[in-house]
Amino acid sequence: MNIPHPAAPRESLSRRWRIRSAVTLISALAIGVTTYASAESMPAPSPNATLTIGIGVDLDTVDPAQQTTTTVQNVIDYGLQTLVAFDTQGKIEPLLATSWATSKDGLTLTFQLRRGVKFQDGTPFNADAVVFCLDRLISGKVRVPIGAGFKSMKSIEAVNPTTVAIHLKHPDPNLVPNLTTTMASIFSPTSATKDGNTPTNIVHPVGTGPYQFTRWSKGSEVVYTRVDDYWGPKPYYKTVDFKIIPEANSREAGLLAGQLDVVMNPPVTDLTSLSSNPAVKVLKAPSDRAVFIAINTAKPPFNNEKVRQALNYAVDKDAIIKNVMFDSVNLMDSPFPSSLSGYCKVGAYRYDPDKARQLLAEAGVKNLKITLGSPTGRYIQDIQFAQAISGYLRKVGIDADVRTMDWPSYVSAILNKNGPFDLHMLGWAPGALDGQTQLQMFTTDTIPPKGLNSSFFSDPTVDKLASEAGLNLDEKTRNQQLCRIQKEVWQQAPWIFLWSQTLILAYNSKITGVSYLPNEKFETMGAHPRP
Amino acid sequence: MSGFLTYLVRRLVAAVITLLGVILVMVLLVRALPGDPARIIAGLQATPEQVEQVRLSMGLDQPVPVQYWRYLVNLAHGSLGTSARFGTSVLSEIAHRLPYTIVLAVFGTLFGAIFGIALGVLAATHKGRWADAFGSMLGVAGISMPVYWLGILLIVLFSVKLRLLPIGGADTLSSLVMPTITLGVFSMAVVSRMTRSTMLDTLDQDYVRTVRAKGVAEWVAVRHALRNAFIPILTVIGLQFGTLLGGAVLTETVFSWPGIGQLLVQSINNRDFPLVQGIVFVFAAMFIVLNIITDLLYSVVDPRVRLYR
Repeated sequence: MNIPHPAAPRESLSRRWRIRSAVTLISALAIGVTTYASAESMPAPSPNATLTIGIGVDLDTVDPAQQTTTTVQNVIDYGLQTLVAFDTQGKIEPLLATSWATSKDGLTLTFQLRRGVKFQDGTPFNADAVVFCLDRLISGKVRVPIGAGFKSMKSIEAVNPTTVAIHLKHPDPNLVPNLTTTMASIFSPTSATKDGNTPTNIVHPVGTGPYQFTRWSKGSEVVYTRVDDYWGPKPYYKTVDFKIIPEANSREAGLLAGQLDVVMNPPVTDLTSLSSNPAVKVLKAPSDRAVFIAINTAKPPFNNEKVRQALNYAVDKDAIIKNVMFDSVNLMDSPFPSSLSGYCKVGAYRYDPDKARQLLAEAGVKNLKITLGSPTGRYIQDIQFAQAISGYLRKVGIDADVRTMDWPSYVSAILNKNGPFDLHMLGWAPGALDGQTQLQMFTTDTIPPKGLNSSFFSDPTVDKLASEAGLNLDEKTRNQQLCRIQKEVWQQAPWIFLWSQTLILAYNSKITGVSYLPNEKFETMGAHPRP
Repeated sequence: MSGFLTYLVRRLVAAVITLLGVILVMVLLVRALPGDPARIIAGLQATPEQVEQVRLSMGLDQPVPVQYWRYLVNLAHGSLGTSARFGTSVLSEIAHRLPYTIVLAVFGTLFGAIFGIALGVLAATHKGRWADAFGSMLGVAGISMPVYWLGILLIVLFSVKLRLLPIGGADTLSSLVMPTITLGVFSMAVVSRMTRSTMLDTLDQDYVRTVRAKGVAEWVAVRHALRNAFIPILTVIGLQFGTLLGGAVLTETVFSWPGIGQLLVQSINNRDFPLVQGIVFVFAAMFIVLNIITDLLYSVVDPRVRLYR
């Protein structure tokens, strides 16, 4: 007997259409910066219009399994689709699958596939293609740098051309969310040996999306062209040209010069002037990326909970958000960003330097000299706010020396228990929007080198609740377990909890319909010139 | 064998020895960078087995002498290896990007040389007057102005305000204008200061006085002097060209120019060792060849300079 998935399957609408309509409403209400045209005003597809988007990151691969960066995923998603997808609320919706069900023992997930869909090379989308692509994630033959979410898959079986069964090693409530991620995109198996592709390295992806990958000039641009026989509603723009412009000021100039239609992450220092420019619209999209200062809980005196709480009380996050972050981020009120499944609001460590001093005194700590690690240019205003935090810590008697390194050296340093930093900055975004991935930052079995729990935090209560939640298929009780974990972690404070980052888009005000997804991605499928 | 050929062979043998040294330093230095390259390539969520697999496939499990020898053997077969990140041949990645960098360096050097020499001559022939002061001011500004700042200023002026030029990319010839100016201004400053000082020296020489005494036009005297002042200027231009080939990272970033500088930074950040080594090797080879060419040009410019006997 099968347990139907709570998400009611819908056949007719594409994910992107529903997302756009929902975003129209949400953004207009919540953000107040921009308004969107309704779906009804969408003009007929243009025969030649091009949408030019400035992105800051050059791609390192177009192979969905091998990429590691949200921006790269965002680009690849224009041509490839997954079995299931998120809407703006983080709710899972059907895409290439029309429905799915979990077996009673939780060990088999069965997907019914959409009929009549073709890949961009004309070959049919079917169960064999799904088996081919998902098997790459677990075969060990393909490098899958962020493949931890698929480890529960034992095998994938084509039951018939429109039915796929995924057999699991153990019940996994997070597999379906993980199947929304770009890694689990389905591409044409026939294409895997053409145009320079090999089964282990895809350089020319051929999927089922509304746009077809056309060209990638490394360091310059990635070009996508609309698929004329796409199975869903067709977007307006014939061509989407992603221009690779690493420098934020140059991207902003490109927008102001009319050479770019949309730019990702313009300089945060210019948000005020951009917002007041009538030629530009600014969209601040909440994302799932938590930005925090991890505290090395393995090092005294940070093994003392009071010291860690003191650090949280010592920093005036509201002031930093206003003065250093230019209101571009949202203060955290839980170890989970609010877009993650199982999120519950826990509280706030309001700025209270007296309380911080008192806690430090109770812990017997004085004249503390520490190092605070920060990357440069990885996160919005990173080194700038690291210095601001150091300033606040000095006010409660902690001398924090801010140090920076290039990113690979930095990652290596923070994963070393005896590394150079007592505190370090990090951003973490579970692309599948599942709370379980967030827990990888707090459980004992993910302490480096096994995982990325870079605060080396270990607590038996959290471990027990996390392992129970990881196998619990009942959403309600799982969310209760996740909420208890959030309260526990908040209390024990392995991080200085800061904020969840936003994805900032600036675009030409003559365009409407630019939107976003909650997992740090933008969306222009519904974009078109303002009537 | 003629003297010239002997000289050339000697220089080429020295070049090969230098390159062998460069490769050795490269292999050692790249390994000295912090961070386990196998883990970075395999991904932070990779299992220890996957990390080991990457280590084996990149040959990082071997001792440095073995890695060095393998690199040389591959090089002898015309291969610089496979990029750990792109999965493509290092040579093809470099071949795709290098022409952009060379074009930019050539234009930047030409800009620097033409305007630098003109400014330097003007300053030297008008010593102590307004033209000299103007030249010196431009020189100081060119040397001290941050490339990044100048680039953004040019974009604001020519792209945002005047809407004349593209903000970046390498699509059309007009894309070259701003990166060329940005890159060339520093060279211009260096060349103009060198030209001014050497010209001042030569303009004081007896033969120039003799030329002037003949009653020829001043520009003829200047031409005589410039010919003789040219060797140090040529050296500076040659060095500048080498520097521009390797040092255009900031300009490439501001103008989204798809050159090799950006690729080098990206591959260092990715710890893509085969690509880093390939790029450094190609840079070193180009620098050595450029030096040989510059030396050969001395004897063309000034026949008194004999490089060989």
